[in-house]
Amino acid sequence: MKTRAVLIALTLLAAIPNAFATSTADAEAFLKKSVNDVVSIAKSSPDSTALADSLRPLLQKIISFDAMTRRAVGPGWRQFTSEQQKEAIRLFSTLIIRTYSGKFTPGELPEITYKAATSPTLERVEVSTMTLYKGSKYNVIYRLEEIDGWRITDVVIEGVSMVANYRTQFDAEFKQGGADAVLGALKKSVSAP
Amino acid sequence: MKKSLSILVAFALCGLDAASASSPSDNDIVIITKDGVEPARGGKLPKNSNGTLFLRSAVEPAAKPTPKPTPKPTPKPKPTPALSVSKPTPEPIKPVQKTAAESKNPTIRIQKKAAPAPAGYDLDEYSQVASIPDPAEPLNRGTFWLNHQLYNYLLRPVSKAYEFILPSPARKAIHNVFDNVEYPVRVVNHALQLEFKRADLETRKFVVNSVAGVGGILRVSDRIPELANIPPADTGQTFAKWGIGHGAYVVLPVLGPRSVRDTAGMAGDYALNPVSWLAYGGVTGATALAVSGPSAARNMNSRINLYDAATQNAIDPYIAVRSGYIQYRDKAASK
Repeated sequence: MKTRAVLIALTLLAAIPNAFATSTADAEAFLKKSVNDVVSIAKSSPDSTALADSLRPLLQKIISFDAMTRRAVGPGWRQFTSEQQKEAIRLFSTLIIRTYSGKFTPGELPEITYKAATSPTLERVEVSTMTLYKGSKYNVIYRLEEIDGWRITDVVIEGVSMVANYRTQFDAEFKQGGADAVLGALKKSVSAP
Repeated sequence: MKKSLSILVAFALCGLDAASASSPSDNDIVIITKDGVEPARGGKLPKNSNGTLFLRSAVEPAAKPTPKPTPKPTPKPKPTPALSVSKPTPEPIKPVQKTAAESKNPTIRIQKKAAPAPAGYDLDEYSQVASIPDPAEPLNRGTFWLNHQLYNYLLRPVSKAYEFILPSPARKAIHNVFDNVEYPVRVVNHALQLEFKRADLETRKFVVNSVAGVGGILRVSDRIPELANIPPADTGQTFAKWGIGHGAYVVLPVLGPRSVRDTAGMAGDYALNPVSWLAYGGVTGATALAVSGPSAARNMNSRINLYDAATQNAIDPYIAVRSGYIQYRDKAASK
């Protein structure tokens, strides 16, 4: 009986790394496919505005704008009404898509080398890449989470997290005027050329 | 005598409760036999008995009141540093009540995934990222505004002209040459950080690029895997590794964002950069300018690109640059 219990425990222990390895591999495969899709769209886009329009449907499927907006706003999110939350997600996703598309210059395509992925928890994976773009190398880390399938929840370029960067900006706005100030600032940024 | 001694021992064992009790009655004195605890009749041992007399309270456990479960405070989500691993807040573990069937036949249940966390559980994930004291914010914002005008109306046109005049390969060659010449900054700081392997690799990279790369014009080292990705090093980073904190945030005219620590580090980098030695090396002003001009142009070029990347689509460009700078420097210090 004791031996049986030990065997079960050992089997369970052996299964844990496998579970992590499977989720890491799944997330990595999802990211590679997503990045390839983005690059193939970027190849055919004449400028960054057209690229943003072409990328929007794809990015809506591969990025969790909901999680990004929520974390970028922080605890103040609870004070947003349901309508304000929807509006914030809509505006922030526009801003993120524009920021992401703005990184590409037509005709210049990145060369991406994928490094070993890590899995801090069962539902989270971080894939580190070395991206060669316009002759310069950048360390880009993609953070992914399993939310209705794998979704990108943050992009960290040379140590600078996109969500953390917006979080510091939203914090200041929220302290000044709550949800209305955050939405006002978002609208202003989205409407800026 | 023996009986008195036994009672004394029993008192001692019972501690204060027994000691504070009044004199024990016959029922309170017991003998332990193979059949259990029995009262000692008349408070005496039976004849031919080798047993010992005990106080009842010493051998029978007192009925303890059932401890009431104290309500535990709801665990508050702890703020998680964002650049480290971000973890979902663990939910309080609830005691599982087993059914009678489960108690008889315990089964192992493997839960593949935790129940989905409620929306909003992760709101504090990025609360501790990129914080730096900014006591001179009004002054810094003023300098930031001046730099913005300077970049947009003077340096950006110059930078564009530099890009227009020099084709990309030429700009790349100039970048490579100056990057190679700045070898002392990196090797000295690697050594000061006790990263001797990196210092050694940096030296090999310098030799390879200077000799095979024709004075550093070609970056041949990129084709050698171990020399391709040596982490950069500068004096501010060395200070960070020595445990010196950022200090306050400052925005320097033209140069842009710095922390007090990195501003001090700039002095070290300047002293270690051979391009800055020219001004003190007996060369004419024109020669010094001719050499340092392209270096300044390529620095300006990359500074404007960085500035654009940080401020485009920002909610508050000043905070976006401050946060980006601190995150970037913290990452560099952790390499």
